[in-house]
Amino acid sequence: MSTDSHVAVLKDLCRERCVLTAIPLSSPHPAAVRAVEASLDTLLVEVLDPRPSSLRAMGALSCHTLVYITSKSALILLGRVIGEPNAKRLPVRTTYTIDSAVMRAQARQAYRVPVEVSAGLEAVIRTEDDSRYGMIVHNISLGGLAGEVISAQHAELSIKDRIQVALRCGGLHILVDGEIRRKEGDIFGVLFRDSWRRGELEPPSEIREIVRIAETAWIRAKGV
Amino acid sequence: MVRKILIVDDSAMVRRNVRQALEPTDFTVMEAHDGADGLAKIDAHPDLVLVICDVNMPGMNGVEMVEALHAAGGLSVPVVMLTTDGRPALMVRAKAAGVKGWIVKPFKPAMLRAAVQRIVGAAGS
Repeated sequence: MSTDSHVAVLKDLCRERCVLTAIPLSSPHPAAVRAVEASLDTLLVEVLDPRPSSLRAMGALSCHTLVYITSKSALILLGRVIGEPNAKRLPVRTTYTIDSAVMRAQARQAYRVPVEVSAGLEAVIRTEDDSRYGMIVHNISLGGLAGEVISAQHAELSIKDRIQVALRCGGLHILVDGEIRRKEGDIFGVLFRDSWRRGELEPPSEIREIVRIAETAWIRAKGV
Repeated sequence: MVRKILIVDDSAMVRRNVRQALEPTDFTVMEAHDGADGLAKIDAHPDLVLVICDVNMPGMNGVEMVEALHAAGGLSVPVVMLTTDGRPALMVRAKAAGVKGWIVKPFKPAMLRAAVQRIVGAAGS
């Protein structure tokens, strides 16, 4: 779970006319609302199904959890009604003040596959000064890998360092931009920056294929 | 005090590049052209502070050389592999034999000097 600056998130929701679920904290009647307009800390929404039970829960200063769910993540906002809906004026709209950070619950998108030596996956870490270190990959996913750098004791590798990873496997060869996210002794966790677009996982086809090869080798090694 | 480093590589050009990278500092670089030659030089020069070794060489390759050293009682001197090879099976074998680093060619002289200084410094401390 992470928190995002809510102004940018609100503007994105409005630009894409996203439909959120407004869950009143004091009533069991959620409502579907569409994000219409955002300013610094307010969000104007259109109530899509203005039933009396829903509208009653939208009294001034009532508190709602606003949830926007995609297949990959959920955005959770806490809003307080500052403009009550008027059922007689269509479309029915209400305004929330959003005074907390937006929580983003990320669905797990990339499952780690243990890498067997038999997968033949070669990985070389390239640093910004073009130093190159061989890595024994322990596991790989569509979004990154973890592995052991034998040279860790003398290599200049720190968390948040931008690096490149040259991967070679089964006739495939790809150089991906990465970032060191974890370091425990000689073990490094690397995020593939090239696999992510605006928080969504969109790996290059070569990464998909390499993960598939690793998965196949792992299944074979386990005798499944 | 001048410290001795051994470069084991079948390529004369790589040996020369390593020599040119390290000799301006306070190292004397000795050369061996394959694993067997490397073993002989390591045996003859117990005052070596570091061995830099290629993997793919005719005759005895670099991984076989460090495995032979390991089998003979462990590595008495730090060994760093300097190679174009990144095969995980070889890296696993080299690590099990006690290799301290796996640097992938091509290398920059400054990077090699820095790595060598850190390894030799760590070994001496």
